[in-house]
Amino acid sequence: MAATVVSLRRPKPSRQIGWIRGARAILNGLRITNGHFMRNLWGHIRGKSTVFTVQYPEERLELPPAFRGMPVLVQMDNGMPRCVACGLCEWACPTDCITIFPAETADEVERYPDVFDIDMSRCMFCGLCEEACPEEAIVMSHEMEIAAFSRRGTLWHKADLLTPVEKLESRLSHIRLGYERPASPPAE
Amino acid sequence: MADNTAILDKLRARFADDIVATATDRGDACASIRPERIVDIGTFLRDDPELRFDMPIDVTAVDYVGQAQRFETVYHLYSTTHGHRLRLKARLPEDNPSIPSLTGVWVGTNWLERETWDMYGIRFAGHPDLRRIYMYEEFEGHPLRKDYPKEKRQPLIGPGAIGTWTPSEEHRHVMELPIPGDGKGMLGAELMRIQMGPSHPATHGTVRIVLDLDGETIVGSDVQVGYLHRGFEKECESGFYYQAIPYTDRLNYSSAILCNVGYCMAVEKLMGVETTARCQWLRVMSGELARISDHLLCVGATCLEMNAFTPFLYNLQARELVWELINQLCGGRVTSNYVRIGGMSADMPADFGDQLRPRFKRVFELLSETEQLMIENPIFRERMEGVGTLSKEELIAFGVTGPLLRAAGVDLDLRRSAPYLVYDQVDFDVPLGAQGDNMDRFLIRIEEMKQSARIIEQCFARMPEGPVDVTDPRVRWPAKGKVFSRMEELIAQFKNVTEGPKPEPGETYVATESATGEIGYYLVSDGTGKPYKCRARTPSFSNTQPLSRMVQGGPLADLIPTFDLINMIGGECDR
Repeated sequence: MAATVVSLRRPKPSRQIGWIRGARAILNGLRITNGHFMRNLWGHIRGKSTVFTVQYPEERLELPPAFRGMPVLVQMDNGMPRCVACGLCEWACPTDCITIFPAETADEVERYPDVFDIDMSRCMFCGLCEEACPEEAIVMSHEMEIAAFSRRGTLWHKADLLTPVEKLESRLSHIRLGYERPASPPAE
Repeated sequence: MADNTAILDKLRARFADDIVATATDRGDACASIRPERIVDIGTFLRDDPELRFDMPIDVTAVDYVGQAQRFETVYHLYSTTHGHRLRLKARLPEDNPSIPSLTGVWVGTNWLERETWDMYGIRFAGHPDLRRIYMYEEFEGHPLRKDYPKEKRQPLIGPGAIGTWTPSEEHRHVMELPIPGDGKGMLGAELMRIQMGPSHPATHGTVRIVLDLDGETIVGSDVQVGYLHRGFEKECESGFYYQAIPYTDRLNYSSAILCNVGYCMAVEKLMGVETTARCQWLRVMSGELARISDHLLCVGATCLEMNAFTPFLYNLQARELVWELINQLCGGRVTSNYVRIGGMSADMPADFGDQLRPRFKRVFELLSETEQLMIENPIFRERMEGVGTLSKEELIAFGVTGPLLRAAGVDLDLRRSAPYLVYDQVDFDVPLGAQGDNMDRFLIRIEEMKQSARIIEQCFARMPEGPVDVTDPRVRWPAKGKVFSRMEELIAQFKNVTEGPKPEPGETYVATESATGEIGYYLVSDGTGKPYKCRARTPSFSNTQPLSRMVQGGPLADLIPTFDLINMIGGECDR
């Protein structure tokens, strides 16, 4: 089991006359491109499109559960964020795009974020906030359409970020896969 | 391969008085020398048959602010004949730091020394062309010095911003560069100076090439990089070790995982951490996926540079299929952010194999169609064969690595010559070209993709079950399930996030084979959670340097495919 060195095979110098080589290349090209055309045409006739292009935004790709879109706040059933404003995501964020002002209530969960802003023009969707969060309160959603007409429009506040937990099931089930890790000694 | 002590003994025996100290730190041979003697030592290291350090890997500096000898220039050298490495260091004083230039020994140190001058303000005496390379001429100060605040903003060039600036001798503006020769072409007509780029589709939008043309023939060129410079090192030094991982994605954005792997391996080496078996297999597999996506883009774009639009689209379709796979692994297509210090951000999905096989079948169908369309095409062959050639020795002296060097027939693939992770346990071929022209560079990438697919197949067959992450909570953040329920892990999580991993003070250099060549990370730790110095030695930078030599004397039209086959990635070259 090891890597071996091989020398590269190059095409041999052709002995054919120039125009014959040119004509062969053209015919070969037509064969391949027409093959694609006929394949797509046949797929269209059968109603099973083989065209690779997706007509966004009318058509959309199905995103895998692992997909990291913009970070959002998980909303509990009582309408409050699950966040306890501990500030770990603020620490972990490489671009300092999160701003939190904590506040306290008399409820069972005493702390909550009074202000929770994410500057989406700085956010790079790396997901470190989600990994740092000790409460499963900030998760990467499948949402990534965050274009705005002004810089102020890219600043998302708590009310915009709060997302009901039902809408985040796919991502939550994905990150929960990594919650329990088997323990064993490292490799030799 | 001589071992570290043999190298250092030999060096000490020859230059007893000029070696300040030698050390072997974490397996890297390292010699501190007196700066005045660096040219003699460099010449000896290059020419001695047992040492033969023929390749300059990297030149950089570290700013130990507050110490009397404030700056330390750091040279990394590699021997392609013997496969060993050496780090040379020389301390310089705070005021007017200056060291003799090594451009006479290794031509490839030219840009690297310019970069060190630009970033740290260290003068290289005898350097032929000590201009700034990343920052613009009007920029004041040297941004990687520790006393240059990260938040400091300077006006960009433009009306009103220039202000008091007057060009000095060393700040020669591009249009004032001397025109080669007597300024006359072959037929007696004047040479024409044109600017190609930076906003030119063929220069990937980030490189400016100042060309002196005699008719259509290039008689002189000056390649100017830096338009995508975004302060990678400064950003990394201001954040914790783990916060730099997303930034490494943005070095080579067409094969981000390979950049992640190199960085995390460097931090792990600094901390003395051994990753788990499954993690290593997973890193190899995902890295090879990234390599395929990088080569697909390069091969497709080369066809596009030759006006062949169809294979470009086929290749992008194939790359899209590979990206879908990467997306399932880590949730990002381009910016993967997949690898973690001591593990991975997620394990492979259970159904990944079922997803991979049909997609790979289609990827290689499309690639085969590209081959059929291009390789036997007479126009393509005539434009590729014998174009952009540069001799082996010159490429090595420039510090060129990766497919570009292998196309010239130099057997240097770090996966083979210095196997890391589990590359010593998989079977694959390293294709070597013979002529080193553009055709070889094109074909070698196609062949490497096929070999990467072989490696991925083997990874699937042999990847062991077991944990992906190490269990040491000082290295890898604890499992979330326990963070939610147990106090100990919750404290560990808080400490990890707010303080970062803390390696012992010291330094390390780790080189891995990325899609474009050797990507190496030189990290210096001062014992805190933030890297004191985080240097990325990127292949694109060294590979772009000989472009002027490659296109010299050829027609302007050949510059486009030659530049493309260097596969300069702006993010990696300009950092």
